[in-house]
Amino acid sequence: MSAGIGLVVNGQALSLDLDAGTPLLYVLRNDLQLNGPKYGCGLGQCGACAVLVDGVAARSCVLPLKAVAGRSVITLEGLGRDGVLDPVQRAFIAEEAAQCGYCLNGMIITARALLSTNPDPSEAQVREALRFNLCRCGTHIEIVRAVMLAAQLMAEENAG
Amino acid sequence: MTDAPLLPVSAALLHGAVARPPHMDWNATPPHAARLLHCEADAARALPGIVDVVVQASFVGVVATSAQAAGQGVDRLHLRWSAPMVRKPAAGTPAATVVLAERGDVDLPAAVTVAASYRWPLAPAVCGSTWAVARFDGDGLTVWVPIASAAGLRADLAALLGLRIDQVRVACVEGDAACAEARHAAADAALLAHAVGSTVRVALTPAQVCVGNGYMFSSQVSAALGPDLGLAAYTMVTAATPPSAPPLALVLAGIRSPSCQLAAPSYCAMPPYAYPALRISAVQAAGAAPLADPAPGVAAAHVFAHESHMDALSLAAGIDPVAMRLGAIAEARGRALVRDVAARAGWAGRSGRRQSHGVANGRGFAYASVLDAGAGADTGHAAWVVDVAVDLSTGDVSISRIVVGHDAAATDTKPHASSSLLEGAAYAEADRLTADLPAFDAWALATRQPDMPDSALAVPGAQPGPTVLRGASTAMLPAAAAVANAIFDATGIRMREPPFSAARLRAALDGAGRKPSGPMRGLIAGAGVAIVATLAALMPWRAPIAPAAPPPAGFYSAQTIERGRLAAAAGDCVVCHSAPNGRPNAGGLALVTPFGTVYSTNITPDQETGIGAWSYAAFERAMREGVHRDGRRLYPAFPYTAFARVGDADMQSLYAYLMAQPAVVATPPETRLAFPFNLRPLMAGWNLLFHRNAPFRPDPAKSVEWNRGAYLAEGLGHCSACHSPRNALGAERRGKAYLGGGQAEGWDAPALNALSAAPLPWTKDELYRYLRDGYAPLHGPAAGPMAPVVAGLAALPDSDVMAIASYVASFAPAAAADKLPAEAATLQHRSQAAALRLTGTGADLFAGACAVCHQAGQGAAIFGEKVPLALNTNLHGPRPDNLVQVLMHGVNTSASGQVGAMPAFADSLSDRQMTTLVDYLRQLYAPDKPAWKDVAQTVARIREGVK
Repeated sequence: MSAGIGLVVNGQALSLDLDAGTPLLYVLRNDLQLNGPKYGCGLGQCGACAVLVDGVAARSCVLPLKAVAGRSVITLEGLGRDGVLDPVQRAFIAEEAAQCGYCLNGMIITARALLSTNPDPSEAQVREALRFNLCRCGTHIEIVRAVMLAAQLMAEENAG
Repeated sequence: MTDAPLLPVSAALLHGAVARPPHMDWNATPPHAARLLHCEADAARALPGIVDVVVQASFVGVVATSAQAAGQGVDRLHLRWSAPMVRKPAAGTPAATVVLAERGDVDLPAAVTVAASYRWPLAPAVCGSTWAVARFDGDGLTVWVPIASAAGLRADLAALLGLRIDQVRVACVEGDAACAEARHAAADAALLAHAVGSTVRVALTPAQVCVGNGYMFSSQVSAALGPDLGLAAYTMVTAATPPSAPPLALVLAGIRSPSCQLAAPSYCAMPPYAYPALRISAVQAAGAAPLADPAPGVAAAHVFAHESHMDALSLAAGIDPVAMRLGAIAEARGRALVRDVAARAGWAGRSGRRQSHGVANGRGFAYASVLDAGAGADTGHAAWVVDVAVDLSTGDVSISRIVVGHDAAATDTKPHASSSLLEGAAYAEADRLTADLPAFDAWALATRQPDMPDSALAVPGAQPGPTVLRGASTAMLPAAAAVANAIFDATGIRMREPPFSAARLRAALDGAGRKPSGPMRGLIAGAGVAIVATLAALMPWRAPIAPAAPPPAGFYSAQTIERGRLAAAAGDCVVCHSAPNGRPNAGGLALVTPFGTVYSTNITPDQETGIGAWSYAAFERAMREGVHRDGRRLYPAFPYTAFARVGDADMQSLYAYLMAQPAVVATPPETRLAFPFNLRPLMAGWNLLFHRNAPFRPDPAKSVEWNRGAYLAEGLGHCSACHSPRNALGAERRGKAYLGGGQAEGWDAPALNALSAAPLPWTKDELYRYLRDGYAPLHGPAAGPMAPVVAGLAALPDSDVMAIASYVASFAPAAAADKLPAEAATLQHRSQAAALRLTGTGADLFAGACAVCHQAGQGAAIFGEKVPLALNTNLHGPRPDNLVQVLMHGVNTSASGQVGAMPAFADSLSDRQMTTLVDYLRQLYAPDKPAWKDVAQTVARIREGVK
């Protein structure tokens, strides 16, 4: 099954000569040294491994490499542009929305995906979107506040 | 029309491009096209290089300085057309009959009357790209066009532009593109040149010249013999000759064609025999698609009817067909030609059905004469003797010899077809007549590799000279009847409609009583093991077939090996004949059956451990009869019961392919079943009871696509090996149980027939997408043992996958395809509502482990599908096996790259949790179905398989 699999990671076109069944998470962390996505449960349940595939949140621990052939993958490392962090990242810093921080990759990626389709979500919509991202430290209040702030930051940037 | 002017050089030309309406009704009189409703001419005129936009009624063309600019101009017009007009033929209108010729009293009492109907497909003109150049100036219109004959075209062009006919000149240009359809380009160019007062070249794509569909031309013939068995009376009622199509520009501009409203002459409607009484009449048939130049096609149809009927009549009279013609042909030169051709062919009467080794040989004769064909057609006599060999099992017709005589007598000054040209044309004609129609066993890759038959040519009075292709058309007229008469001579089957394809002839041969006879299986099937043992004594051991050297490289053509590759892919050989992580086809996969574990064998061409020493005879015997080369009986875990239905060509190709693969030395584990199943000779009795070694027979009542699907599914594809239930002795159950669901590798193979548990019925389209993409939107992904099947099908062309879908869908419960999406939504809403209502451990497990990917409407959008389990057959079926398999193993072999990657939960859910979750899923997604029984045992059993 090893044949060059083409995909775009954080804007860079790659051809990977790897087993097509390898989970995307392992490819990102072990082969591409992109350690933003974390290994949590390995079953797609916790969301720590989330990345954006064609702009949609994906659980990279259960996605085989072949599933993203020809697609664009963006990891936490790829969110910022030209050294400037993404508004979602800045909001999470501003709200101090991390305790241990292990879940934050998934929270930020999922929030990013939410805001690109719904730039002005209600708090209930934020909670619903993050429903399947698990945080065991109990930082949920700060996380939800950070997403609301991110929406505000984006709105200000678009206006200015 | 004197001194054709020189074609203008390209620098002096403008270029035209034309638009065509989306709908066209050629059957209307005059032909009816969609009306032009909207055209943004000014937008196109603003483009660089555009000279003008010409609109006349529904005709739209753009003239520009380059062909490219003209084409861009047309694109910029943003044309809108009226919707197609639905025309219903007037009901109950009596068909008008026109008597073309009549003499004597055809109704006198006769000693022998032979009546039959003959059909001839009048194909629409083959459309190619073509062109024309038109110049309009003070002298009038001059058109250069690659066309053989300008007949009628001048009048059409004059009518189109409102000119006198003497103001129109047409220069027929020689060239490869010469075809009757060039008249469309001529009219387009004329209209554009007239509008801009300049010289315009128009080039048309095939799509812009294509007109109409094929038309089946039929003739009812009746011939009577007098008391002395001499010719007495002849009647023929034929369809009306379809009119030729007027140039499209006239239709679009709303101008009636003056030349194309009358039927073209049918110069062979009269038989060339001196019947004292005859009547030839034509019925006005509705729905005739127009033809570019119908006369030759209609003439060929008439000659086919006359000459096939003469053969039948001579048989009825008991007279030699050549002798009967010699007594009836009025023309002396015609009689001389018939005598000469018969002598050169060594004609010695009918062959009398010489059949040997499944091949029947026959010989046929036919004659045609054209005495007055009107302008532009050649005249003369032609006679054919054709020898054919018919393969009685496949229906293949091979032409072994053609003797053609052509006497262009009436015009001695006219150049004759040269011998080699006539030979090539005769061969091409014979090949066309026996060409295969799309058939159930035709692969899309197969291109015809014709063999050149021996042909001897007698051309009395032939003089060497320049070749004229049109001169060959009279010579070709008897071809179809000669071949049909030869086929009749060989087989006793009268083919009354060309082409005489293998599929048609095979169907006719089957209909003629060569039905395969099987043993009385139904009566003794229920009698059980005791009888098996008794019957086994009949022929328990088979002789070994001596080892043979494998076919040398190059023995089979690349095309045969490629066909074999597709056959192997359709048969999924590699799936069972490869161990997990083993070399392809080297064997060793364990197949668990109720009788014990059967290990697949090495089918690579290794001499010692594989099938390298197997001759084709040994291979075919194994495939069709389930007997090893050494005479040992094979177990029906190897589906020879299905492979027996594979056609010979596919079987040979498969052998060629397997023998061309790399040899692998590998000895798989030996199959050891418990007593009494370890006694392989018993399989002889099993075969007698349950195996029918008969090739696939297409169902003539079904479509070619369905039959192709049936052939693939019942034969190589061996779908029923897993999807049909088996009886106590491991034989597939047939009849209503066919495709009624079975088991494979610990998975349920769901029922595909009326017993299907799918909440929404499978349709052809859903099956196609499932088999092609590995995912059906209204059913789910292919997983488990079905995933490699889909992977194998990837090698097959779309048409074959569609054919299998068509066949399988014909067994599924009826479905209203347009209502399915709404029903799918209802089912999904039902389970979403249930999710709110159901609580407990199962719901908690689901929320934690499954909901993120499977519960639509919750959480963020997730890449891939939120696979709608409410639609999945496995949740609705009678057993939880497949659901437990998926939970335990995950889906990592999914055929579809986009969906169906699911982690395995064997290590994270206990048996108890798994059981609770399975019960919950059943309630959630199939609330109308009873809870599964024995879920805990199923979980325990399948977990045992995981270890």
